[in-house]
Amino acid sequence: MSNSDTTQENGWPLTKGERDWKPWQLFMVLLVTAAATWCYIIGEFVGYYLNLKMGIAAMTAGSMIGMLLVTLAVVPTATRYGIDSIAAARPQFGDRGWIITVFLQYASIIGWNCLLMIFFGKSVGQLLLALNIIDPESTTWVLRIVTVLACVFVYLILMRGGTGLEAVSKILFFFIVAIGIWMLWILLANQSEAIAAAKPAYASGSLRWDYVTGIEIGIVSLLSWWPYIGAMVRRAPDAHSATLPSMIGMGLPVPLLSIVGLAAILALQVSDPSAWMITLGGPVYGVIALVFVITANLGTTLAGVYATAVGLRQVPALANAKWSTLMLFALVPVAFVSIVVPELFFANFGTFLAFIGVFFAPICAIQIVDYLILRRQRISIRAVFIGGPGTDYHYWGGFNPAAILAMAAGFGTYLYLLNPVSYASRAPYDFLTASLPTAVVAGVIYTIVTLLVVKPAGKGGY
Amino acid sequence: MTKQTIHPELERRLATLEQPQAQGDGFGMVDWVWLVALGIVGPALLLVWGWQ
Repeated sequence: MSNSDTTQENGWPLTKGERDWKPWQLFMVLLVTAAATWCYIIGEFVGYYLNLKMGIAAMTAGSMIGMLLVTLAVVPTATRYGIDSIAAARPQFGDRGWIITVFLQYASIIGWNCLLMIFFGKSVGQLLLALNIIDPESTTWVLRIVTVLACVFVYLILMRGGTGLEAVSKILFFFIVAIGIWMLWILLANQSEAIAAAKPAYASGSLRWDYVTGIEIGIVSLLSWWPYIGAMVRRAPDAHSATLPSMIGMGLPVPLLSIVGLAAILALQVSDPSAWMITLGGPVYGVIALVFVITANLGTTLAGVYATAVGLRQVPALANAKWSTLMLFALVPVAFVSIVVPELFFANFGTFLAFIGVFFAPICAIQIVDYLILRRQRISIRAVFIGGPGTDYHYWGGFNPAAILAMAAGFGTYLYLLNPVSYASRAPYDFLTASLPTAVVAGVIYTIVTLLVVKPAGKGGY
Repeated sequence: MTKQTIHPELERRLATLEQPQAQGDGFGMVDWVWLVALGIVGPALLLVWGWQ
């Protein structure tokens, strides 16, 4: 472990005295993390299928259901023992199998950060183009340069660790809330008739399928918080202090801000506020929108890189790496994708969302049934950090077959119900979504294998 | 149990957190009410409203 790292960065459990974030502090950090321009993309995606009223209902309901799953999966363990999402998954996946969760955390946060950086770069290019500062051919280079500069900026801020994250969140909180409300008001005041009359561009012809798809998008969007939330709620002293900040501070901002993207795509056929704010109010509005995009994305990217670095610390090969090195692991892939294949990545947002649902719905279900039901809310914190043969979470060779089989069953269930690439579906998707049955199947399989195989074998510390 | 060298600071933390009184409390009754209201009942009502 690098001597310069603080306890927050080295991934060790935080003692109760160190978990000093008040609910309002946690609320601000979680809100700033959740409020990013991915909301506009999520809203745009829902707007392909649903009108404003149905879109708001489906997105918000789906988001809160997804947030409930993530909260139940991570918050109790993280706040009882002061550990992050990755460490909290060790009792279920085993002292080697937990590497699966590290990989998924890494892939998902890198993916979201790529999306944010590309969106940010596109917004800057859009604004400079509207102001006649650059020509259309230059927007690609602007995107690349802006992305690299943003990565450097994030790196410098996070050299202060969690202190930097919380300090920046305090500043960004009020700005994001105020500008977000103002932009929504501008849009609704100027385009209410167009929004009311708008028809979703890719409506399937089955209103129920479209509605369920809106719910599904809401659920999987919020399942994305699984990798993020642990690194932050572990700073709260108990589950009570984190319940409302989690459900409201992290659950509600996404659907509320997504309304902006939903309304914009219905009325103006574009969800990027840097583009439609110029249309509605000229360059000044465009600059304000761009500043909003920068600040909103900054907070989220900071939280993502921070959570990734804390998670990577658990990897034995990186246990002694410097904090600055871990941040490079989190930032360099983002810069690479944003520079080399920005359009390709941006165009496959739906597939990326489905990837989230495929993996994080089973993980949440496994953690919920294991910690809340099978283990009755107690784990061996020593076995979480000290593995090897004979320890509670070594299972068979470091892997828990119950978790592996549950993940596989969940994976198969999701793919059966919804094709992540084409969005072709099978019954009962249009009644139940894909994520919820996936979670149920994974939870049931985990419980059965644990009760029939793992516990009788004396494995897992049950 | 495998013999492992444990960093003294990590050992101190583990020993502390193994004491139940040093751990954070889980969800209380009020928390469960909020979770059900915000994660199940609220979404159900929203979906009914949206479908009408």
